[in-house]
Amino acid sequence: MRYIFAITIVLLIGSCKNEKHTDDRTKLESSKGINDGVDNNNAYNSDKNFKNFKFNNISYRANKKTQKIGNIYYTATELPLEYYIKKNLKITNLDSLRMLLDDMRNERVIEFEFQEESKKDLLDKEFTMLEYKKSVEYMAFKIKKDFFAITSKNDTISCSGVLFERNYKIAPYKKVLVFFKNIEDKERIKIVYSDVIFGNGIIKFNLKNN
Amino acid sequence: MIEDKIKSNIWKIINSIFLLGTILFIAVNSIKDDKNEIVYVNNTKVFNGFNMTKDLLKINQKTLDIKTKRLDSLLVNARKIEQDLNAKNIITEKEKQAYATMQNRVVNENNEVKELQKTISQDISQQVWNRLNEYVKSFGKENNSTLILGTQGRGNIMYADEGIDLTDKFLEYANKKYEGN
Repeated sequence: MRYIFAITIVLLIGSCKNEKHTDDRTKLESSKGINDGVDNNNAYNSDKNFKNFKFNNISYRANKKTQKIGNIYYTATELPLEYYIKKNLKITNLDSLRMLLDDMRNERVIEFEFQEESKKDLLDKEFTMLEYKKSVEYMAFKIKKDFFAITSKNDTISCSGVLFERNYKIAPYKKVLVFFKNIEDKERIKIVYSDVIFGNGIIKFNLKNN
Repeated sequence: MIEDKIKSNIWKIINSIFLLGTILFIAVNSIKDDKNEIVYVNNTKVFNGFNMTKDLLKINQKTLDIKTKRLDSLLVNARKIEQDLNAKNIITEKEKQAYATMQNRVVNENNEVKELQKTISQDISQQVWNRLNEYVKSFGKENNSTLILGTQGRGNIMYADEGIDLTDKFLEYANKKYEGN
C-alpha cells in the first residue's frame, strides 16, 4: 500500500517538475554556455537577471539583462566597481582600493557582450557589412556614440568611454566595457544601445539596482 | 488485528485520493497544453503603439525638421523674389536667372525632403516590423498559440471574436520587452 502512495507522490512531483517555463535565454545559457565563455573565468552561476563574479575568494553579484534580436544575443552587465577595480585595474591594496572606490562612486562600468547564436564571429563581413579591420575599429572607437544611459530621474547620460576587449577569436563573444560618469550612487539605470554595426536598431537594458 | 484493518483502510482512502488527484492533474495539464489557440492582433494599433516606433519617429523627426525649416525659408525667399519681380515693369536677364536658380533650389530641396520622408518611413517600418516579428514569435510560444493573425482592417479578416483579440496584451508584452525589462 505504502508503495502505491509513494509512487503517486513521485508521479505528482515529477509532473510538477515537467512544467516548463519558456525562457530562450536560460535554455541557451545551459546548452551553449553563454556568458561563461573561455576567458571569463571569474563569472559563474549566471541566471536571467544576475551574473556572479568571484575574485580572490570574494563573490560579487551583478545586474544583467539580455536581449536577443535576430541571431544576436546582447548582454549588458553592470560590473560591481570593487570587482572592476580589483580585476581590471589590478588594485588590491585596501587604501588604494578605498580611494578609488570613492573617486569612482558616481561612475558605472557596463560589460557589454555580443554573441551570435551559432557562435560565429560577429565581426565578419556577413554581419557588419564592413571589412574585418573596419569592424574592429568600429568596436574600439565609433561604438561609443551608440550608447547612452537613462537614469530613473530621466536624465540622459552620454557614454564617457569604451574599451573593446579583443580576444582574437578565442571566445565566442565580443566584449566592450562601457563607461558612464555623473550617475548618482544608488541610481537605477537603463542602458540604451543604438545598434548601428549590426543594424538592429534601438535595444534597451533595464538594469535594476538591487 | 482491528488496528491493522483500520490502517489498511486509511491507506486505501489516501491512495484513492492521490490517484484521483494525479488523474485530475494530468487531465488539466493536458487540456492546458493543447495548442489549438488561434488569436489575432491589430497590426496598425500594434505598430503605432509600439515604443520603438515612437522613439524612431522622435529621433528622425529632428533630421526632418532641419530639412523642412530650410525648405520653408527657401520658399519664403522665392515668394519675395517673385513679388518683387511682379512689381517691376522691366525684368533684367540677371534677375530672371536668379529667380530661375531659386526655383530650382526650391524644387530640389522639396524633392530631398520628400525622399527623406520616404526613406525614414521605410526604415522605421522595416526596423519596427523586424523587432515586432521577433516579439510575436516569443509571445506565441509563451502563450501556446498555434496561429497569430495580423489584421489591418482592410478585409483580410472580416470577422473575429473580440475574445481572441490579443492586441493590447501583445502590445504590453512587446513594449515591456523593448524597454529592456
